[in-house]
Amino acid sequence: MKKTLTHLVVATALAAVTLTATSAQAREFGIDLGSGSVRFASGSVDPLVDDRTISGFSPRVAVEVADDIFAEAQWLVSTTKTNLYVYTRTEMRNDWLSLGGRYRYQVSSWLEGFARAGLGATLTWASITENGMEAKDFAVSPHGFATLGVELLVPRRVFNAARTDRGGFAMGLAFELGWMHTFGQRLLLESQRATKPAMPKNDIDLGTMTMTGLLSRFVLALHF
Amino acid sequence: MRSATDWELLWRGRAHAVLGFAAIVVATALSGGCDGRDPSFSRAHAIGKPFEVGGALVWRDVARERLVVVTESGGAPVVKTFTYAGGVDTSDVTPDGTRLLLVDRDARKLTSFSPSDGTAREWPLPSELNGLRISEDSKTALLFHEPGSGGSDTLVNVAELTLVDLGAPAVEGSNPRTATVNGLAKAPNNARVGPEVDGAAGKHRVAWLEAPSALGVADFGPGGGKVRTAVVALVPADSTVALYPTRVVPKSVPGGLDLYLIATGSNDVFHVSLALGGADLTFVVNQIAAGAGPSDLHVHDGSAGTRILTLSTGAWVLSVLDPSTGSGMLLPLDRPTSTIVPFSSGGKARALLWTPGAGDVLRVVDLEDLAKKKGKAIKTYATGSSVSKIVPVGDRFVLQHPGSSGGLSIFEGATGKFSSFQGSGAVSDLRVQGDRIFALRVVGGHGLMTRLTTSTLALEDIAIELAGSQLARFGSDGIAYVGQGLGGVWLALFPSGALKADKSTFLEGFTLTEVM
Repeated sequence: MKKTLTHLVVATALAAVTLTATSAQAREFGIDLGSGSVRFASGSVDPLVDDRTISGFSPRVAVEVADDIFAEAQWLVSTTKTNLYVYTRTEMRNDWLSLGGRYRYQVSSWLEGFARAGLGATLTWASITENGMEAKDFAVSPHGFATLGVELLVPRRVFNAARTDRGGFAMGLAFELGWMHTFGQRLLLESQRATKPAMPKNDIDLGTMTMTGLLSRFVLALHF
Repeated sequence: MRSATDWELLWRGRAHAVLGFAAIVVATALSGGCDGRDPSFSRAHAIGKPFEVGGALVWRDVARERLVVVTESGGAPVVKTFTYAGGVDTSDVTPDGTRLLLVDRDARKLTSFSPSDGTAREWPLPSELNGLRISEDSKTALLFHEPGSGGSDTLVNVAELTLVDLGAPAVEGSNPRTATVNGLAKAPNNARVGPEVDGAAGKHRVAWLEAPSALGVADFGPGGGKVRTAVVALVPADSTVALYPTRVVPKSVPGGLDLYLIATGSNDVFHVSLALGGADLTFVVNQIAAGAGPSDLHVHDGSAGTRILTLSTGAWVLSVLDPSTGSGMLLPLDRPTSTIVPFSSGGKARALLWTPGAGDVLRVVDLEDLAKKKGKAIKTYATGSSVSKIVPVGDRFVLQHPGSSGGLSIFEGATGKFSSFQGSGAVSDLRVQGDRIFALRVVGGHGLMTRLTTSTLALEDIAIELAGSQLARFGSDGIAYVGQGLGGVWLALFPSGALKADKSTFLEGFTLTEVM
């Protein structure tokens, strides 16, 4: 059930971007790759994150659907490992899959500002290990985000003198900062210990994780 | 030229807003703004063996500064946590099984915690006391400076002792009460607090420090008044002989307290009579020869008066001494025997004699018949193999035999009958609850638990594929099998005592501690 849900979310995101791209072939298409991080405002994540910050790989694809307005799909994936109470090893993987939009404000051929917002699903896998035993859980919750950012570009004319400052290939470095709100998700870790004979077991309650906080991304942006 | 155009754009001001925003967001990101992780998550939880307090299991969760209590209610486990931020240098459970006492030496504090209602009571201590002894009636706790349990940062007065009335709150000057036994030349190795003694003016409580060649006695008299002290020398003042008390038995007498003691380095029983009724604390010491190297001592009040029994491993004798006359008789034994376990059966006072880990016989002494029948009052029973541990269950005894055959016997003290049980693996832990015995053997990563009802000799077993470390009483009838797991421990709980998987609950440590 959980895997099916994951596949459904990923497939929906890809389909949306593909459809958008198909319907707007004449417009600009963008890809960026880099790192993203979320600095959590809540201590509810403390058991699984040692400095309340997670960082990870964050690709994004975008298609211009109107002048300076883009439809986007974004993925931020992060895996964190830390120790809990010294002896317990914890691991958490989060996949933030988002669909959203971006408004671009061109300042010059080498400088752009932008504002982005989106909605999506947060997929969380959590596990703890101690004394050779493991307990784990998976949870899904919705999220939303909004950011502002700047992009420093190598102007399009560098790559093709015939080009204007709009359209055509360009590349740059973008930095954005904003807020990610993830609705709380309760993690109930199921012990993987197989007791023989089987005995009723209680799950390990990590409480409700509120993975909300400052979202930042630093990426290499490619424009086509 | 393109660059110049861009700079012109910039200076015209269109880019100021964007660059300004960029500067703000970078500054914000760098300055953070979120708090760090709760430091408790980075401390070791250090959850070890549980305290067994009545039917409750209590752990100290160091990281979260709390006590975790697991109790049984309606056949199911109930987990509660209680804040406890102090350290624990010494701890013990009161003999009545109702309270856990925790000594925080550095904070100079004694805490009594009751798992049944979650209440705690604290008493300040006058110095960095680390030794804890509880009276057999569970009413008072004695604290002293115990050697060998960690150094103290401050110089301490080793002749100091403090008595805490566990039934009363802290009141400066009267609870706890502290005294110094002036003249006690050497640091004590042990301390004890005796029974409550009726005096003319009220209740007395006598405590004593057991030092080499001397007892430091303190009489905590009625009304919270002055504590009277005395040093009871066990050797003449000019003697260089060092005697180390090994066993002291108190006995209340009208107007005073008698202490009977044996000590390494002496073949005598010391009889110290403390008189509590006068203005001063006075005492008389008598010595009675007891045979070479007495190893254990029992005081019996019979129809003929008080008699002292000692076992002498050096001379292989049982000594029966009359403290009122100093006379006695020595009854030879055919092998060294070291330990006396008193019990009663059918209204008759008896004692079981045995030697832990050595010998293959038990002896049962009919204490009332000793004077008349002498050696014939002692019956000898062959156990077949040595006995490492004995747990009394009324007039029955559970014998644990060392070795890998899971040897366990039930010995009926009244009849001398044995019932023997064997299986693979050595018994590593035993718990007795009522007439039921729970035994644990751990073989090849499996825990083999057995419940044996002593009255019917009925057996019930369960094999659990988990290598645990101990058993613990759980609730009024249940048993817990404890091992290391997620969160420090795991528990396999059998609340009803029935060793059946469908009547059990398995808990990892983190499910106990509400860890997050």
